[in-house]
Amino acid sequence: MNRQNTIAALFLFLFPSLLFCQQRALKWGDIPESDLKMTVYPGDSTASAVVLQDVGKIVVRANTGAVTFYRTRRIKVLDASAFDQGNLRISYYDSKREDELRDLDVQVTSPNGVKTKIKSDNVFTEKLGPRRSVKKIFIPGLQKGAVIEYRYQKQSDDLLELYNWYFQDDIPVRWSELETVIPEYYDYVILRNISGPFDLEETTQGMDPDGHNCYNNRWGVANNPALKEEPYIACMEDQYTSIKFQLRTIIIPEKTPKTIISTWKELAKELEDLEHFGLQYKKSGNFENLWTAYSTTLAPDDTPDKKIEKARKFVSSNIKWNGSYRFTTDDDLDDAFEKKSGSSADINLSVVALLRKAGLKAIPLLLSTRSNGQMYPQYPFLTQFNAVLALVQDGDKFTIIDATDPYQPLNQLRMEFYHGAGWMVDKSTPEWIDIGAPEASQTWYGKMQLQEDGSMNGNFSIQTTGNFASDWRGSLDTTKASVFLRKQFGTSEMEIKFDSISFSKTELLDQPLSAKFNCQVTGAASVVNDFIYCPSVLDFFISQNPFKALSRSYPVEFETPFKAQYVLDLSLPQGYQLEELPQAGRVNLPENAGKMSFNCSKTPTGGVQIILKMNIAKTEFSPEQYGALRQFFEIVVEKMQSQLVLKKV
Amino acid sequence: MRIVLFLFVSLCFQGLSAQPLYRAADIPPAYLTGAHAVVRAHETRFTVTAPDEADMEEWVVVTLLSKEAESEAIWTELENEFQKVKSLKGSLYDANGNLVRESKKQDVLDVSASSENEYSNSRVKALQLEYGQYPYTVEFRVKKTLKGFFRIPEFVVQKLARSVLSTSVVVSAPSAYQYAWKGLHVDVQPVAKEADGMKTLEWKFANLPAIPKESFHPYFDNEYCKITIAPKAITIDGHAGNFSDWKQISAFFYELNKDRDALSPEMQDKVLALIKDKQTTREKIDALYKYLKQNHRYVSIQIGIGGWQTLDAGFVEKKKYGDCKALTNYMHAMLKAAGIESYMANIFAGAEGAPEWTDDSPVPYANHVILYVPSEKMWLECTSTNLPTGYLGDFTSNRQALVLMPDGGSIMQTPTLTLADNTRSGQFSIRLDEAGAAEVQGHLQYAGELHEPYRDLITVQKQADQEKTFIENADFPVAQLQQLKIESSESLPQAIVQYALKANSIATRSGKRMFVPVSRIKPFKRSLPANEKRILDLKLRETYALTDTFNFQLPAGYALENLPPTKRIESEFGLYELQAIQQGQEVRVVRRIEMLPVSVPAAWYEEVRKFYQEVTKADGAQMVLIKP
Repeated sequence: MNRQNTIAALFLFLFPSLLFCQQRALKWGDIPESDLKMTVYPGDSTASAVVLQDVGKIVVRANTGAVTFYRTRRIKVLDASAFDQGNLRISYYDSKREDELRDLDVQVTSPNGVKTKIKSDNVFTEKLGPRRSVKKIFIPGLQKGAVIEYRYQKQSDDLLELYNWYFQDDIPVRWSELETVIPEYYDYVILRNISGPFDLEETTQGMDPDGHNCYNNRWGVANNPALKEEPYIACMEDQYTSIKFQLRTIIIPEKTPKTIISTWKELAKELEDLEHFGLQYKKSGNFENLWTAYSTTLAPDDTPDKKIEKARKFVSSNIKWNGSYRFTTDDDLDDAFEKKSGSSADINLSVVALLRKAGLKAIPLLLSTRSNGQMYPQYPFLTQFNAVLALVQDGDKFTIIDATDPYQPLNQLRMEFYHGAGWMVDKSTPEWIDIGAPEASQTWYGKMQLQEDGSMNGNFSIQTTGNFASDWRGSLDTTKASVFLRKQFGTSEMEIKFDSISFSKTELLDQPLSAKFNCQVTGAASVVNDFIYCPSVLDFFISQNPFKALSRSYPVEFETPFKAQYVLDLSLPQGYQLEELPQAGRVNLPENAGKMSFNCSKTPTGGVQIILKMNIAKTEFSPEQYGALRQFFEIVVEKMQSQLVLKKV
Repeated sequence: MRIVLFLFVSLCFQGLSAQPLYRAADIPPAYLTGAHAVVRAHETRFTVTAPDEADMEEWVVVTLLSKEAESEAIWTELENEFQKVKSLKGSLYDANGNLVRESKKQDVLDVSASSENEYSNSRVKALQLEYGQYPYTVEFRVKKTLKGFFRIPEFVVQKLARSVLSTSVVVSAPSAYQYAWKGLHVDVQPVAKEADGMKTLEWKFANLPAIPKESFHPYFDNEYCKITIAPKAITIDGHAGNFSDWKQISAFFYELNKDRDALSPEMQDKVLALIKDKQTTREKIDALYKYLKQNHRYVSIQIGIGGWQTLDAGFVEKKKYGDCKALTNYMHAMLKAAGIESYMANIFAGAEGAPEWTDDSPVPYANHVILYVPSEKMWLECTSTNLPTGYLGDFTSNRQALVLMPDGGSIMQTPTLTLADNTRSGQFSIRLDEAGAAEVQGHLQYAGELHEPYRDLITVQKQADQEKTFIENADFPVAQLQQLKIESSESLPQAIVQYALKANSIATRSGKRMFVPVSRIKPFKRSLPANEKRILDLKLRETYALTDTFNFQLPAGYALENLPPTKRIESEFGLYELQAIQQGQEVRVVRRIEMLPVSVPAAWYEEVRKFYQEVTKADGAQMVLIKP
């Protein structure tokens, strides 16, 4: 044992309580010597900064209904590359009447223990929007090893949601805790997002200064790792350990209890009477012009399906989606129609309005988009949602309409909307329905002749369905066909010339989209001496493994299940004979989550037929399944790269 | 009176007939070819009202033909002490020219113009008129006032992929107000008028067919035809300056920024302590530059004249941060305390290049400041936290810089990184097994521009994250990374990457054969899109030399069936050499690639493209092994 270790052991022996000190936050300015001297964070040696502690407290006052949020945060800067931790940003509401943010206090302690209070000339206020501002604080004199502390209060009267608390950050968090002091009159649903138990969780009962009974809760998490963005993840926010609040009931003695979160039925009722929601499609004055224009497209003998399709087409081509997901409108539907642009609410509630007036049972379908995070079907509260679709119910037949994307047919949605489920805003049947992403597919069929010089020519036809088809339709509207097709052949440097390109069913969105074309590929195969070595699959669909990292900490989330099939009938040049064919292969992912098969065979006419099929049948793979998924794609790519060998006779 | 009447009648006529003005179908077909948008009309009126004040009015009508032109439907203006937007209005018309909507006051967005590590009181005002169905037409009317300016805005007449039906630029100024102008691809002379003490120049352009937007062209920011105007004298925030030539402009900015280099006595002592044991000027600069980059960070606080004038050295000394001007001025102050002469220099930074400054229309179009040390002929990028002393990366190298000196400095060229500077030399040992997997050891030495990504990587990432990044960026699937070491030189623009790893599918198998692409570990690919009717000149800035040796150990039991033949491709755009030699169960592949900067007329495009294609194809060569 070297000297340092001996001292460390001695230290622990003398002060065993230090082992547990992380379970209790330290006071403002009280920074232990070990933290000042820290050069590497033991919990993550790659970290260049670490949140030593982050302490939040939410106090609700019974008398006034005022909510106060206190926060004190402490960051250790380990490395000059983390100096941007010295640029703090605190955003807040600043409606005219009062500032939400108070008592901002920032202090820095240098590694040798010198404390400096950060003065107000380092604090700048910037307007973010009509009611929101941000304080930007640039900490001066920042040096390696410094500890930054800052604290502030926020005041609000938003009893419904209080404040969200995240126990995690994009740098490691050694200790994070939240305390709440809530009078017994307020009953909250507590939405926890954590994979295991909390490191600290306790509830005590007490009395607040005004003499009301209170519940005092504390939650704490130690040693949370840094969260870093990775591809194929729907919503980073869902990956953070967090606690959120939703007010359920208010029961004040001698007053009638007030139910905030009651039932889905009640919520539906409220929404139907809301100015910027239900009244938009219930009061025809709000969409008079829209209706007048739409109704001219209708014929007396239109079937319900036809009316639906016409509404989808009319709305999607007359109101351009402005990129924002909302479920309430900004103004009236006619205003969006006049502006020719609107949010998902303006657009899809327009569809609801038109189809209701056309005599169908059209219902808004609320949901949370993939990047907005999870939904809670067990709790009827509104803020879990951020977008709306239109749904038409005809007996037990449902048609879902998303008119924000003019390339989506009925029952097919923008990828962001594939988040598992949606809720029908209908007070008679306020139900959740599953929204499964339909499979997207690509089928390639090629008939090509391999030439002596290694080039290939012939023709291909490609058929796409599902979201592949809508993506193609969208791209084809803006990209030259040959440029677009070239992209489908992957990123390799083969020179491909296209002619006689034709697309079919481009207008009929519910039909597969097909492309047919002749092509000439220069340098497809390599010719060396008496041999021709020819790749079995010209790059298509996937040209390299999308999963390169050796391991993964989050699930992989695909947007839709998908299927790809490649069939090539290849005829061989005169004077050559087939020397070798690549081996067939087959891989299955566990639980039928995916399949791949590859086969190469001689045809009776002396050519070769190559068939590659693959599919991914589910959209979510856990970190434990990542290895298998990575290997699956590795084999797919390997098979695509396998080669035929031809020899001159 | 007759004129008034005539106007009245014609207005009535127009009003009564109610013919839509901007039908897309009215655009003659000749103006649709190669165009993403058609400028139907664009009138700009710039009026100098006082030596430091001007009004500007613009009216523009653009028909957007496709999504590529979407940015035309958004109008943005900056607002701060020097520029106020008086009004910003717009209208949207559909393909038939019918008015879809007129903007309302609340449609104008107002957002902050600063990013995370910046604070400024500049706001961006934006009006968005995007529409779902192409073609459609947008119309904008903008009025703004400028106060304190040393360059009259550039007037872009035509951008690539835009055809122009009618455009005019009118510049009015008091007769005594002098300025020079210069046109790029402008073959019309302005009409000059003088009345009531105001001198007016008017340029008119009509019926310019679109010049297509092609890749790698020499036009900065896609501006094909424009007019730049250089006032001879300016006043900004009470500072008057002579702007008639670069020498004077240099002197003006020098004056604006001088005497802001005082350090506290403690800091002066610190400087002397830092250079105490240093013998040469270079060593002293090195010590001070190191101190700067290790203890300071880039934070930009710009209020008012602060956009042009540096903060005091004392500010940076205390706060340990600053923007480019402040950090550069601070470095200058430290060098001064060390007895070394240095000057700030204005420059237009960006990896995409910079607009060209010319003598006949001196307009200081700059966005960054660096430092020049004459005695060492050295340039210092003072916002960097990791560059070696005296090295400028692709952000500021190879372009003009205006050196600010008391009696007026001059434009100088920052160093150009040549083929000899930007190099990589790699040594790879690849031990193949029977399954096509391999154990690979690599040793790569990078220099110049090629080394920068590695220097940056190790600045922002520690070992575990570097390994992750390395695996994600590898050209082949890594199965196990046994060792990775990335280092960059403290004093030279160099980095070394060393690794040992296991990789699957380095070779693919078919029956008794195995195929080994010889450059699988470090493939080379370069291409230009096919374009048989190239119109614009071709400009490619990159230049580098790569020398790699791949030593393959063949798996036992396999023999060579075919080895790629020796290949040499040489042209005035570069060189490619590949040679493979067998020695028993070893194959040694030596490859040399040189890529030269290209600046050629359009007619040469296909030739350059063919060269890259040939090189890329040659690099795909494979050896074929067979189990006898």
